[in-house]
Amino acid sequence: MAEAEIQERRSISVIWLVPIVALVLGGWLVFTTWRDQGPAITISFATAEGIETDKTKIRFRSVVVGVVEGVGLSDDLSRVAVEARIDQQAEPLLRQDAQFFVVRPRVGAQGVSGLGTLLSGPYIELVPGTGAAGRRDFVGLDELPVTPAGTDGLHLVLESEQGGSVGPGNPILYRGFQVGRVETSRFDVDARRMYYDAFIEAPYDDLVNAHSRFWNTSGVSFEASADGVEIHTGSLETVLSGGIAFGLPEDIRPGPPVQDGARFDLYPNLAKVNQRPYRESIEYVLQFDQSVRGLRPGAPVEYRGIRTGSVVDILLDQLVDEESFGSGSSIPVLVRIEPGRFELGDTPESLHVLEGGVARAVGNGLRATLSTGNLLTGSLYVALDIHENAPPAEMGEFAGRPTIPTMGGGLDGLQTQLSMLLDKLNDLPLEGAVESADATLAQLESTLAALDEVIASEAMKQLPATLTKSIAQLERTLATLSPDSDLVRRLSHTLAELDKTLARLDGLATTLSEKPNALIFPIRSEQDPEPPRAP
Amino acid sequence: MKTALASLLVALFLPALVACSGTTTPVRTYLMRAPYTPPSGPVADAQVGLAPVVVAEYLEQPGIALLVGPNEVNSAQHHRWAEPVRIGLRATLQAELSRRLGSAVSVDTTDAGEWTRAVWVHVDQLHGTLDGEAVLVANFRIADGLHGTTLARHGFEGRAPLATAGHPALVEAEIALVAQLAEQIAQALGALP
Repeated sequence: MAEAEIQERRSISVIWLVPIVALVLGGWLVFTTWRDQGPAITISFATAEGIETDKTKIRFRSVVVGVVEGVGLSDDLSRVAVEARIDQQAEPLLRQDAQFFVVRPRVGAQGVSGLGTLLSGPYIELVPGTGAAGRRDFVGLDELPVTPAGTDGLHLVLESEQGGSVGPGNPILYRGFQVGRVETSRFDVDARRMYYDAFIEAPYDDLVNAHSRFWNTSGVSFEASADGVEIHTGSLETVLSGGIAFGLPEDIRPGPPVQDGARFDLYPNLAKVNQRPYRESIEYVLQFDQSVRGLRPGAPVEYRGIRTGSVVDILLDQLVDEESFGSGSSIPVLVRIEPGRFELGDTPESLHVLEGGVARAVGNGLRATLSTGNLLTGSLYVALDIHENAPPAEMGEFAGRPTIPTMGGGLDGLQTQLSMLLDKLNDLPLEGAVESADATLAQLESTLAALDEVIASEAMKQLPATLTKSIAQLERTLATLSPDSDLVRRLSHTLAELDKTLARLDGLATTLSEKPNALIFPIRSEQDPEPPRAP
Repeated sequence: MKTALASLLVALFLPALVACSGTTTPVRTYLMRAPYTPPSGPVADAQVGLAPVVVAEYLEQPGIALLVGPNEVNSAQHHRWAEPVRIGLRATLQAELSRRLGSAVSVDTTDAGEWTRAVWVHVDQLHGTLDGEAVLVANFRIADGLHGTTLARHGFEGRAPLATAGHPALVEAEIALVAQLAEQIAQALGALP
């Protein structure tokens, strides 16, 4: 009989619990660390100056939200790639339009900033923006953004033929109040023009419309023209470091609102804006047979005191080219007339309307003259007016542009008018008029003498007393006739009694006509018909 | 001789005595008024005034009018108004308007400068009919002063049945019609701004 083999049962030692627990705790720590750590991002910069691994912080509103974990070169070796870890709490800040820039000490025209980093070292500032979250690769800004991402407002593009004093960060003013800033500036080599990206902050973006004009307010402008001497300055900041202002030119109404990214011309100064505030214009040549000294480009062209355009230039080159140069030929002056000033609309269509109107007006006597705008400076301006007595003239052409006939103006015109006035005075029949006036005065004197006699008479002296007495009597008489006077009351009563008596007499007369003997034999009284009761 | 003279006198005066001995119907007079007692003590100047009432020409006589046939009016000989009917109409309208408006309505034109509303009434018909009715046809005009601009113009036509036969009942019915006219004037005044 076989015996059962009894084997001793082997059990796991309790000591194995220690590594198992340690393994579980370690795994838990790894998991929680992985779970709590924020996203890793990559920021590309032009340079890594001052940025150090595990030392340079990433801040948002001065709160540390991440740290740089590595600094290296980009794949194409053209830039620096900064690896950073963002706290999990700050992950929603990593939006599509988030911006990163390195805060370092800066000293510039816009002021001094970042002095705090002199001791602490540079840090990276995060500007979250307003886009969708989830982006991990960013291109860092080398300069501080003028306008933080997500700011409400209006982006504009300003074009200028000249660069110069305006640059990024310069203020944009509306009536001297800062409403925006220039963000960037660039020069287009092909177009040979300067382009400025400008930003107008809300709610001031409503001030910009299609008719707005932008001009450079840098420094101080000084100008003497036919309108006098004018000095223009912006704010102290624009005087020192440059700036742009905008507004509506004189006599122009606001236009429709503009969209984001609208383009505007940047005028060199306010005077240039006022010289040509309209886009559409027609150029005419005025040929003057007198001195044009004091007539400058930009001088106003007025129609009966209302500005209609500006002087563009004096065509000296055309004067020289003329065959008749040296023989006392007229001076060609190029002027620009703008239909927008006539409320015709600043559109190409209005040019045809203006063209036809000028042609008709010339037929009716429209002439251009030179007038003195400023006696101190001797500045001249061009005056357009209808001269009914002007000698007949027609529109011509000069250097490819239509001409408007001219007349002598300024001192020459004054001389002409003075001469005409003297001629008219000479033609007046003064001698006859003086004789007639003498006779009239003599007659007037005799009339006044007769009137004096009447006034001095005794009857006239007594007239006031008589009038006073008559008026007093009249007042007393009127008092007796007032509605509440005794006379009127008695009169009313008498009239009423008379009324009754007449009514009775009327009845008596009727009776007698029916029965003449009624006085002796009274008629039998007839009964009145009786009103019956309502059914 | 004496006997003959006496006989002649009797022959002459007897017919006259016979004629005078006939009975005559007495004349009765009526007053058009509405029951209204003005408030005692001082009262403020009236803002509403009633101009003199104008009546049709056939009402400018003392007899009470009764329409006895088509276009035939009888003016009673023995039933007369105690005063011209336009006076009674004005007094009745004043009383009824004062009662309805709650303030005195003036008829004194010397105070017309204080009036902000003046009521002009023209009565075209006021008489009884053989159908047992009283008839009142009138129109009135409200102005912003005695001689001011007209603010409203209305017409009125009313009929009231006679409770009993006779002129006293006719007068009562006519007074009731004048009260209805006053009610319409008061409503027109209240409708003005």
